[in-house]
Amino acid sequence: MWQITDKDQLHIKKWENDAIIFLEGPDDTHLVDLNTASILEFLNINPLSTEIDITHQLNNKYGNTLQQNDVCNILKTLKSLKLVEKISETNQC
Amino acid sequence: MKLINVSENNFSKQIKKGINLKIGPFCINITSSIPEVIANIHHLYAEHAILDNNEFVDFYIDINPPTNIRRWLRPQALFSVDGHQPIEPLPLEHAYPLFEWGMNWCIANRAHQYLIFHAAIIEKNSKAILLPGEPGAGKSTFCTALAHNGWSLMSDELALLSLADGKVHPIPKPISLKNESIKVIAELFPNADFGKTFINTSKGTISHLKAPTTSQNPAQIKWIIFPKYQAKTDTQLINKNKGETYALLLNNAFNHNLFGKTCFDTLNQILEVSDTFQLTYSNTTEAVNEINKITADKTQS
Repeated sequence: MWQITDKDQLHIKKWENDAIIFLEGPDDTHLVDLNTASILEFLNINPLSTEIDITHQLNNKYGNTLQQNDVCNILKTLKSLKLVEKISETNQC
Repeated sequence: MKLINVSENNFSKQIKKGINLKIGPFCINITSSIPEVIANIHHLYAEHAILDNNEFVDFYIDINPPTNIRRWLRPQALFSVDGHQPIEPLPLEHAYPLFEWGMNWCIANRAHQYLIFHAAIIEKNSKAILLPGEPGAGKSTFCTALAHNGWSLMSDELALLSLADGKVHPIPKPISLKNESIKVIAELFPNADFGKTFINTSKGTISHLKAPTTSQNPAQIKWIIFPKYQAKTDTQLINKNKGETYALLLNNAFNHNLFGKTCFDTLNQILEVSDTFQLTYSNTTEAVNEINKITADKTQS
């Protein structure tokens, strides 16, 4: 299961083709693609979600063709940026 | 009173003791005894106001030869602000460029009431184009061309964004043109008002130019355009993604870390109401026409 590291400090601005993530405190800014921004938005509303939940819900919502593997890779990148953290090992990422 | 109303002789006497000049939102006290500095300021800042001695001074700038042996042997110019020397001395013949660079240093490092971008900025009817760019991208050349085509100069180097009102505030200093761009502008605009030319500076040949029209009031950013001069290319104006523009703006900002979430919110608000482009050009006139075309609707008075 995954959650946003510091929910109160994270700000997301989605544009037509890309998005900006801003983390208050360290004042880190990241330019990301829309899938990444959508995953963060989803985790913001639904903390402690698995990558299966995320993939399923985002595909339902946006009609995406996101694969679970894509979501895993994005989550790993977000983890390396310290934007999300893994809470338990009940997943395949 | 404007500087243009003071004779160079009188100005020369006053600046040796220190004179308050209004440059954009700042009151800058300048002291110098270097004839070339005095002549260039008198010429290029002619439209700027002289302020009273009791005015609050933002920066006390002193540009003079040193008092040691370097006053005579390979003479130098020293730049100091409020008694500190933030920049290395330069040969005396480069004293005026040192004055301009030093003033930019003061603003970029100390005027933290503004979010400051390394960008040129021009406006028409209070609608501004922000032109960020790395050195050599051609932003000064391009903003000079626009300033000779109906736009008013706000700055060729530093854009001052107030987070209080979300507007850019003018600091219309002389435009610093380098190397080939001096010839390009002189050919395009034979009446362009240049100061002295300085050769062999650390940035090559430099000449400062007085913009024909300068802006006096804050303006709203409506376009963010990244100009890039590229020899032998057709003019290309391509939409730039907003997120990418945001990231590039931060790369060109000096002090965004001071403002946190306020900076994030303000930049997003500006991007909401701005069109964002990458401009690649080799023909300056053609590029100016292209910009005038895309901005025509919003700049009608």
